Amino acid sequence: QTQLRVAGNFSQNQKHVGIESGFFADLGAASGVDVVANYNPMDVVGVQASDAFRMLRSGTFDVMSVQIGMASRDDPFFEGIDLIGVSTDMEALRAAVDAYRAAFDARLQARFNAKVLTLWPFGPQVFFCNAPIETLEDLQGLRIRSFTPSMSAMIEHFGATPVTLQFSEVYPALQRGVVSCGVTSPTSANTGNWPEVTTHLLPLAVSGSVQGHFINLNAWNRFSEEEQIALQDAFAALEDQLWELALTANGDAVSCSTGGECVEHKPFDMTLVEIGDADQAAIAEVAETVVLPIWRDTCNAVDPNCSTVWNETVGAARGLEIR
Amino acid sequence: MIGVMGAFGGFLTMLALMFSGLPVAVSLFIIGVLGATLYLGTPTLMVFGGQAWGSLNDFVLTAIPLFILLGELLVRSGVTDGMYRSLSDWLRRLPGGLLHSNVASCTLFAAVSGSSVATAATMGTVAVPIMKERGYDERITLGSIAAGATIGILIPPSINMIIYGSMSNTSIGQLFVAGIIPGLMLSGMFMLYILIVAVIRPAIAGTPIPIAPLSVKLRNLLDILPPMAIFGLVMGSIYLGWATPSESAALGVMGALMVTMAKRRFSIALLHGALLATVKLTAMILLIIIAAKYLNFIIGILGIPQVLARTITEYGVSQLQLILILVLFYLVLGCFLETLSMMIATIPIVVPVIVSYGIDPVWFGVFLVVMMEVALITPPLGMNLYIVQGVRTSGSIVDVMIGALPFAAIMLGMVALLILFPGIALWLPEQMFDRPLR
Amino acid sequence: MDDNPLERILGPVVRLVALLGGYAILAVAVFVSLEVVLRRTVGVSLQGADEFGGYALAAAAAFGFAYTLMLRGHTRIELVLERLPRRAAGVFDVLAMLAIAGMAVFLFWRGWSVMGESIEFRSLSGTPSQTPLWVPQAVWVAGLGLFAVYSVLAAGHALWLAVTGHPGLHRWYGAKSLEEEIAEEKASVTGRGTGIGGDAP
Ligand code: NA
Ligand code: NA
Repeated sequence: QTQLRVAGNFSQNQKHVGIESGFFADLGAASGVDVVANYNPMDVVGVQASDAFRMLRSGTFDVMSVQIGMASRDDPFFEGIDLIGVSTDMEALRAAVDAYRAAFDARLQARFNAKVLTLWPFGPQVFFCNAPIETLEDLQGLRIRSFTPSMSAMIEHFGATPVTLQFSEVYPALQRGVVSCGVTSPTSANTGNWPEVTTHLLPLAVSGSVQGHFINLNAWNRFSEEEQIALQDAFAALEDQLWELALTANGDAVSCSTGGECVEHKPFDMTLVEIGDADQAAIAEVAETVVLPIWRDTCNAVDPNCSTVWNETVGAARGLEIR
Repeated sequence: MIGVMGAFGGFLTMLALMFSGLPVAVSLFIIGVLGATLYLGTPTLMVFGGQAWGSLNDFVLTAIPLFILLGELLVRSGVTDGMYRSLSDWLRRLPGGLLHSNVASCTLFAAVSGSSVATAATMGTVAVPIMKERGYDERITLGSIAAGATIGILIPPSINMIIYGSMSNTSIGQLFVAGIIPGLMLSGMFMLYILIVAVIRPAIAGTPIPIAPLSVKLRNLLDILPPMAIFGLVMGSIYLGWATPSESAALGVMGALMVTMAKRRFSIALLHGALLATVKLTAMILLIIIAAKYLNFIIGILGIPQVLARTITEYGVSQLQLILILVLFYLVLGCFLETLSMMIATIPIVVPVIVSYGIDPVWFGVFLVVMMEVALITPPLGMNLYIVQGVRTSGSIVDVMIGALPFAAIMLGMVALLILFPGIALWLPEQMFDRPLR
Repeated sequence: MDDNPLERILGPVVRLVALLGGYAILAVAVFVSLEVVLRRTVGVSLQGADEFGGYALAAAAAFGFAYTLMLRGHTRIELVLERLPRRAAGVFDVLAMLAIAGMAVFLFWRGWSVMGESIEFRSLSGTPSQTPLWVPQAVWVAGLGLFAVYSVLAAGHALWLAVTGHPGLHRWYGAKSLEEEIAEEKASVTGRGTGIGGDAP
């Protein structure tokens, strides 16, 4: 019998943790592989999301649920899967993720002794504002909470001020007007009661907050080839389930938050802003002129092939090019 | 992976290491290392450096040195004497006289101090000589200071609440606000007790301080302004959403610096003294936190809280019974352990269990802090007892212990009220934060 | 207390480093206050007050570990030791010093490797400032290094004192008695400013 030590998603993401813990409890029976998993949400064991790649490499955990954006501090290449402004809807995002998967996996194996099992989005990252917003232009002059370098660059591009705050501090900050807007997924915002302290929802996805399940290679190689195939099938099913969740749950969360039909989130009465073509174009322009060049400089500093690989994969899938 | 007996054995080993005089941080660390090597393997041991960096590189915890620095600056600025004198002006007519000033000064100083021991030392130094001179009953005098000072960790700011919030992922702002009403109630209950005793046995109160004319009384009132203003700055900035708790601590330090300058006490020597005292205490606390968070990591992977919660549920323990067990647990442990070590050593195990029982973590934070207050004045080891005894310099420690005992009983009464009416702790945060917790 | 030869030789350095840590905390207070005021009044955010506050805390704590050890400020429970004969308590004092030296060296070694990985991966902070992580970590590791060196020397010294039966063992490396803690607490209140006033919260 093989034991797997698993660090899961954040416990406040109850849906995801529910799916994960069920999946890992069931893994042996579902895959027919003799395996037992010891699953804990990462915050329960005091693991920081940004340490994921190091912990995978050292074998502290065998399998980890990784927030790629946070973990990319140890290698900006991985951030390339979901750069701001590149994929503005879930369909585009899936194409980008599938295009990047092989390169992503190869690099993860080479640098961090780990292998990709799943890649999936947490959900579209959209704007929640407590000021009347009709287009992206209205962001001018506002204070907006930012948590990544590219997001700060984007916010500044729109003439707004980026403010860094921890997630737990955003609700009171919105409530008291410390910031005017926060960016997160509709489900996170709904469970965090952001609609109580914001009025306008701009459903333009600046990214999809892509996450993944990765396994330490030593742990992976303990399985026979047939077992590996069976496990891969099981994880593929998990990946599909999590993509599905991102679509349905966030659709429901947007609807609930804006007074529409509501199944499983808390009902609120925010204004749903309509996205115009101008906004789509503005986001695409930010990607081309601000985000991609910044990422190119950061990533090529670590590995000069970064932008080439990206152009051949995500770039080709999305019709963008880093020069 | 590890059973209840194994976990219990680990806990006893940890206590044994502590009582053998190993530094508390090292005792926690050794238990973590044992858990990692016996059950989990080398990688979980080697990750200690990354976990330590993660524990320290945390803006939330900067509130600890900032609030310590705030207190150090204020004490050195000498605002406390004036504060005590001014409160005495107004309270000495009550039966019990200056005894009420003790409790009130402690409560007011609690509003700027994050620590109960600091409150005891400060107010003890100010009050004990005056009370002695005026012939007050020694036991109740000493008890009122030792016990009144414990309110320092219940009324915000509170270092114990910052540590609890950080280790249990509970909002520190909400914890701070939740402590205000219980803190004021406790201080009111202390004063009521003094009042009753003074009516029955008027002899406990000594000769009153001569009455000052109203104009002097009003002018003296200025002396209670600095602590009030700093409390207003700290809690107001949190409430208005101008600042997070750590940021409010920074504002408080600026306020304290200004008070030092306004009192014409500021000097480089004073600043360096305050900074070194702050670093010393911060390093002590954070070394314990590094070890405790590492132990927390090992305990979490081993699944000990889940095992414990399951066992307790299997025995059919109800929510109320669980709380009563915890009252007993902390009462006993509190006789022998210093409060900070006790909190840090038990939070990783206890909090997951109480959360699985549906107990509100903010309420539990207040409950825990009141239990720590009890521990501060229960013999044989109660830090506040010894501090007050130390200020007094003569007589037996037994006087302080006996004097503090009724106050400990009142605190347990407060615990009972908190259990019966959780709203005492939760009402204010609900009003102020439209609190959707967790 | 001050006649401890180790403290006489290394004390000034250890104290200076601790004071630097204190100034780091003061700098956080100033920087964060400025951030709050600017954010409220002009709507400008200095960006990264939280990030640099975290680095400052890590540095200040690490810079203080050796200082706190020198002042015997790392909490020990003396309840049992006080009741033991001086000889037996001395054995536990040596054990305590050896154990804290072991922890300090291990912490330094693992901290060093964290910094090494940050250099190897060229890790950036992942915050808008994109700070190279090894920089704040190097400052932190330097503090841990001082802690490791001081604690190893102190443990060796304590062991030597025990072997030679020197009475300094109890005075310099024994658990702090309540009387001493109270005296320090009072000293800090009465503002004699010895710089060693502190307390357990
Ligand atoms: Na307080
Ligand atoms: Na006690």
